[in-house]
Amino acid sequence: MIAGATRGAGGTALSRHLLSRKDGQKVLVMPSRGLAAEDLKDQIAEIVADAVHGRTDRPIHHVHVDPPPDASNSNEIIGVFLRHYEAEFGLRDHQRAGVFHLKGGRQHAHVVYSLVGRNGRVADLQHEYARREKICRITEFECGLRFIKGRHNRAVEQALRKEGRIEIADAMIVAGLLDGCPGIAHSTPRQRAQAERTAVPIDEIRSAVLAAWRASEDARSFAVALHAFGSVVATGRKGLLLVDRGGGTHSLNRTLAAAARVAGEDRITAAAVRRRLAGITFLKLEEILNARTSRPNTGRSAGSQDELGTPATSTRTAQGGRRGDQSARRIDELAAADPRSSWTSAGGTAARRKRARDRATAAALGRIDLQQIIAKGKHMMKELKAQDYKAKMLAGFAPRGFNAHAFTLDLHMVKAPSEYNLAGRIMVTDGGWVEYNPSARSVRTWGPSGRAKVLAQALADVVGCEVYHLAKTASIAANADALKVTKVADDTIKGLVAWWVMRGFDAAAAPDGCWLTAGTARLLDTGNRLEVHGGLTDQAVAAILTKAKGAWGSSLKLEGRWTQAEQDHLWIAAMRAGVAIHNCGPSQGIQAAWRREKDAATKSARTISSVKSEIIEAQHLIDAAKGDIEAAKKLSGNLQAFVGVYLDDEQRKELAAQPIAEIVPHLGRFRRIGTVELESYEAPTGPKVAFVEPEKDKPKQDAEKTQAPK
Amino acid sequence: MKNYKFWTQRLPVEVGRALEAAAINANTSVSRFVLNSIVAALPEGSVLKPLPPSPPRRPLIIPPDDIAAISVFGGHLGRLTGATVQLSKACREGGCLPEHNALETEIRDLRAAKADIVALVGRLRAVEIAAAS
Repeated sequence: MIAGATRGAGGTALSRHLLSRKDGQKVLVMPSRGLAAEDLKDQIAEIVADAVHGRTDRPIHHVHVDPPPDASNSNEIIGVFLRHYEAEFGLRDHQRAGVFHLKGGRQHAHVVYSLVGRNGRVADLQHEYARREKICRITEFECGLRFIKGRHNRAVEQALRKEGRIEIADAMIVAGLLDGCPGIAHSTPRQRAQAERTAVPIDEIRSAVLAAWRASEDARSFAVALHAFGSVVATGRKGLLLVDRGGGTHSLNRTLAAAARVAGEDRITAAAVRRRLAGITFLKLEEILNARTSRPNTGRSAGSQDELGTPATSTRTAQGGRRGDQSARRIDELAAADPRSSWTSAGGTAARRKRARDRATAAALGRIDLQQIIAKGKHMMKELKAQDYKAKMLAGFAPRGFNAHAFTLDLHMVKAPSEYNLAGRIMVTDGGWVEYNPSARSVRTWGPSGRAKVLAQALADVVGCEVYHLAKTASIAANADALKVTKVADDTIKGLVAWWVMRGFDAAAAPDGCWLTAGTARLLDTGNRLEVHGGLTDQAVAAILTKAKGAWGSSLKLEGRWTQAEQDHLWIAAMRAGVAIHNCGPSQGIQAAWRREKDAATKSARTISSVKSEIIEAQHLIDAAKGDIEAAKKLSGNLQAFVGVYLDDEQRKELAAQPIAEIVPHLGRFRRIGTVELESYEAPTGPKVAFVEPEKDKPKQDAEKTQAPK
Repeated sequence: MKNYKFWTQRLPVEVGRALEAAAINANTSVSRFVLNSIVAALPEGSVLKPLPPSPPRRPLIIPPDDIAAISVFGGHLGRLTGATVQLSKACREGGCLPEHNALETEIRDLRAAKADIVALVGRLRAVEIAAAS
């Protein structure tokens, strides 16, 4: 939940804001405390009047409490917050008034306290921000809400421990509130109100100013590049300002810093901005705004030297430019004031003014390298258009309510869901990946978790799910040399993508290597090294073995920390695939299982071999029964006796008509019969051959034998 | 000394008292007096850039006694009105309608009195502000 507070004197604007029904907002005045008046306006006036005896000129403390939009018990959350808040700041006995607002289905409350107590003592609001954040965390904990990262997380955690609320402090740590940078709001209420008024989104201004910063090298090129976006730099009361095309003002330092933060780039400090913009004097804000209001017909300024800022060194040129403008203006004024002039008609005056402006513009443009401006403008517009296109693509499949344009500068590659891949993928500029599946309503990330984490969390908040990060679990290398981490060349990455795609894998090129999908896991291939993200799934194992067999000579080496289960999983798969695996310690159990599997395979092979030989012998027997002498020769002696001596012609004919499947089971019996027949046949005469060579072939063979010595 | 923007110096109590007295005589704060003295003692003191003036402090508000008394009375009146509202509500819920009706009349009077008090405080403050300016 979010809460805010402001302190003031209790003017009429507060009651007007609290009773506003703008945009269909419903207002319900809550019961007051210690006040007699019936309506809110009088109640606030009463608080102010009753606080006069306190030593402050700002006795009003306005607190707004915003429960999460999806909370079902908003009233309870608001009640818990106010109870803790009053206890924290000693406001329990102080006068109070307030309202509930219901807008767009979201309820929140505004409460107005008197800071002055009965005895005239003013409530101590030191460190109100951090203490209010502490109350928010307590309320979130007690109401079972999701913790929101604040600005003073460590201070809140320490304060809670001091107060004995250790369980909340521990819960904050578990929720990761103390990790990383503190929470930074996208924009302030003032910025949002200004954007609503001028219709110039703050994200657009940030994108433009960052693009101008990137494209520039010095103050002049920065001002020129910025001018291409319709913005100018001005000198404000405290520092440099950015005046957008709608006339809205922004702190230049803060806008650049926010844009760099959103883009995940290095910080752009105020000192860096000072250094780059040194040596140039920018116009004051009032002068720029006056110039704009005096030229209502021009949507954008003409890019004159004055607007871009005058270099401090070229004083003469700057003065000349101003003098020229002043003289032109003086002529206009004289012409307008002179009743005898022929240019006093409205049309003539306007034409003359236009000519004077054109001359001044031409003089100013003459000092500017227009080609350079156009080239830079084109380059920047191309960059922005590309980013906008990606943001539009993302918005096409992102859930409703997700602001894709807030991440415009983060997008490196966007792949929309297709009929083959139901999940859309986004690669952010720092190399991280986000996958959003609209049908499964799931959000996953892998790779570097910088901007990807932020983008995924924003998606998950809208979808209402948790972000699942596929963390790096293990890595595999081809050999020891592959341990050296080097940047992979773009051509190598393209080759890797093609290699995987040819083998039926879903692969995508990225600056850090080739990412491929293996079930729920993701693998990063850098040629001689594979990184597994998201666990060792069966598909990941298949991919690893494919790589080892196809590119690493059927061997691989495990790197990093592998669990025993993972080692067993990969080892046995590698054994089955015939891949040698190094630096792997399989358990005894998996080794025994592999031995059993191998023995079973050997036995199975033997059985298959014997069955095959039986089938072959049965086929020969059938052929022999049909009268094929060559087939009969291939039979063993007992089967030869069975088919040649034991069976008569009718029986042989019947045997020849039988299918192999009928004969194979009876082969043993046929052999026994044949053996008995052979023994009884050979007993009086000695061993005989049932099937001999035909007599007509004998002389030929003898002749060949006799000719051989020649 | 790496941090040129801030450093601490341990001083004897007597020196501290003397500094405080000298600062009061010079109608300035102790830190400003010490800073001016250091800058004046430096060889390049005359060419050093002077510090920007401190932001104006919020003026101390001490309300006049009469307005404060009326304001305190107004606070009591408000709390009394609130308590009477609760009492009237309890009477109505308890079935004591005659008392409830009487209390409602009192509440109207209290509210009218409170409105007068608020208006009175406003007028007195306006006079005070006009006199101060």
